[in-house]
Amino acid sequence: MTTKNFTAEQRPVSPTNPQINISEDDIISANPKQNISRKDGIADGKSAADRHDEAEDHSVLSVQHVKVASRLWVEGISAKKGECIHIIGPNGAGKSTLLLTLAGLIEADEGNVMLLGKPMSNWSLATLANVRTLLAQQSESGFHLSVKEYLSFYSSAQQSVLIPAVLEKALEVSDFSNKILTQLSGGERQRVEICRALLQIWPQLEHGEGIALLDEPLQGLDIRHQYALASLVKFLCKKGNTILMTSHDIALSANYCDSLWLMQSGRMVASGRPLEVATQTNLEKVFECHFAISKRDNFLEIQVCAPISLE
Amino acid sequence: MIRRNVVNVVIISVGLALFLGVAGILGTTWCSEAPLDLKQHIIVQLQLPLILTACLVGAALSVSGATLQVVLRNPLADPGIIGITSGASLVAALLLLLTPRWASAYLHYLLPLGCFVGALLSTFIIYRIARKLLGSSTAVILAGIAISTLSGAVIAWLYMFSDANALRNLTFWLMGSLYQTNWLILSVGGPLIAAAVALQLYFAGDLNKLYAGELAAKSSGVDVEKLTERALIVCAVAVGTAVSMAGSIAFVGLLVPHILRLIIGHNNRYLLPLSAMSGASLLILVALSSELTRAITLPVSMVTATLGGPLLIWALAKGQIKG
Repeated sequence: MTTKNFTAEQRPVSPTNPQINISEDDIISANPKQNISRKDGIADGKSAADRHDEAEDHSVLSVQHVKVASRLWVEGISAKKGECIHIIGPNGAGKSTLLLTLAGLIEADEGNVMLLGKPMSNWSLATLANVRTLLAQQSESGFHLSVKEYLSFYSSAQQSVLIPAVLEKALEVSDFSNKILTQLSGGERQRVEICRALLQIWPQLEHGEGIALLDEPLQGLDIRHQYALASLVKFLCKKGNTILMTSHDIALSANYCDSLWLMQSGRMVASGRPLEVATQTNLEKVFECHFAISKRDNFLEIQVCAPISLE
Repeated sequence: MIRRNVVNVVIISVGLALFLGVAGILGTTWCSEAPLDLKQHIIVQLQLPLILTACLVGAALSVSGATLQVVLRNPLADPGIIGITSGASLVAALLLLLTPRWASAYLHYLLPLGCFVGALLSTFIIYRIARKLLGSSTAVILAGIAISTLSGAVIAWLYMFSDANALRNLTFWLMGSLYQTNWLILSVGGPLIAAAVALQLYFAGDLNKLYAGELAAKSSGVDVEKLTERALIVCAVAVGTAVSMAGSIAFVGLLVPHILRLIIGHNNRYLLPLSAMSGASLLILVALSSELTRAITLPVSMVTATLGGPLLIWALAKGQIKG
């Protein structure tokens, strides 16, 4: 793997910008190519039993025949340790519901959710808090507390610095750490929220044993921070952490994940390597508009070419 | 850390106010011309209960205000606004105006008991209504306002049909008074308030996580429903006891936490204990001013609202400009 490939992958950010490149070496070796061998498509015809065996081996999170009200119906899918998964799908596809179910905050009406080989019902909220973290979409606080104070409530006590260097590099929250939370812009607020969510399990993330479920972390971020975040997520996964995030930026997601999960009306339509999932047929069926997809070196270029007409 | 120093300065100044207040109250008797045994009697039977009542009631109202604001995620929440006080007031009004003459000898003890039950009952009703409505924190406040309005209306009706003496009693009760307790009432109310305040301090760490919203708090291991329920019960016990000891006292629960947040920030581990201390000192100062104006007993709410109104406006303005 050469630096040339890396810059191709990093395309939309200025590749020479030193601030955003979180430890270049790590990202280069975190290239999706390395993960191809250990990632066989989950959506193929494997029986539930096979999948269960697989789950006992190295899956960190898995669901089997899970049904949540009328919002979610997933046959079976799992996330392996160190896997970087992006979940895409139209509004109301059940992405957030899936993340909340995986976080153990919504109880499935039917089926099993397994976390680290243990059924979700055996986990208590307190023990879950040390293993996985969740970035939810809604979050409003009417209190005028400062960013620094807000973050301090969520960081573990033994930490020497409030914001670890890697997080600061990608999220750049120190600039407004003395500002009041309610005075931040939408994107700044979102960066603080991401920081908060990751701080909750930072000791685990540092050891490569964390699980992060991020619901639309890219929402509101400027283009530079979108790619910085995507790189941060990959960097953390490379260390052994398992991260699932939902996204509406198919072009970014397809190039920054190990696995892409495609959802529609509460069901998993396809999952596996981005190259196999982000196909013209799949995307056009699910998103109901036309796509132009081309492959260049390692880079998957995806564009919407005929959006919905209003006439 | 600057914050640490600020906290220390606040602790020292509040503690000093508390000490000076207590010294002042005791001093008014000690420096008088009365014979020694009379002085002792006044201090033991009147002034120590007054001091204890002021401390307990002030601490209970302020801490409960601070806790309720975080639990309901609304900086405007106050034991009075969400209706805990109004239930107690309604029972007090009923007892004061409708108790038959033969039972009036027991009124001194009947009243606190009734108020306590009233506070718990109204909290229970508010919580039930809120759960039926939306289950959200706004629903608790709306239900509280509904209950407050309703009990206010009933009290107004009772006013119409009561005699002058009962009316005067009721007015005093509704404005709050620190002179209604004795050692017996304190021996029941004191431990109740102390326990309720201690429990709220114990919740402080979990309350901090609520600032990020319900889902984030849950994700970080806080059982939000359980915490809300427990905090509401504990606040109802604290406020119910405070109200049954001193009548309804306005503003303290809203004012003290608000001003403290401006000075020391939002960390409940500091905010809650300091709210307790500041609330206690505030009512001690009110008690002192009442002792100094011997001729008339000042209704507590009158003083707290007179001081509190402008201070709250200042706090709001400062809060808006600064953040």
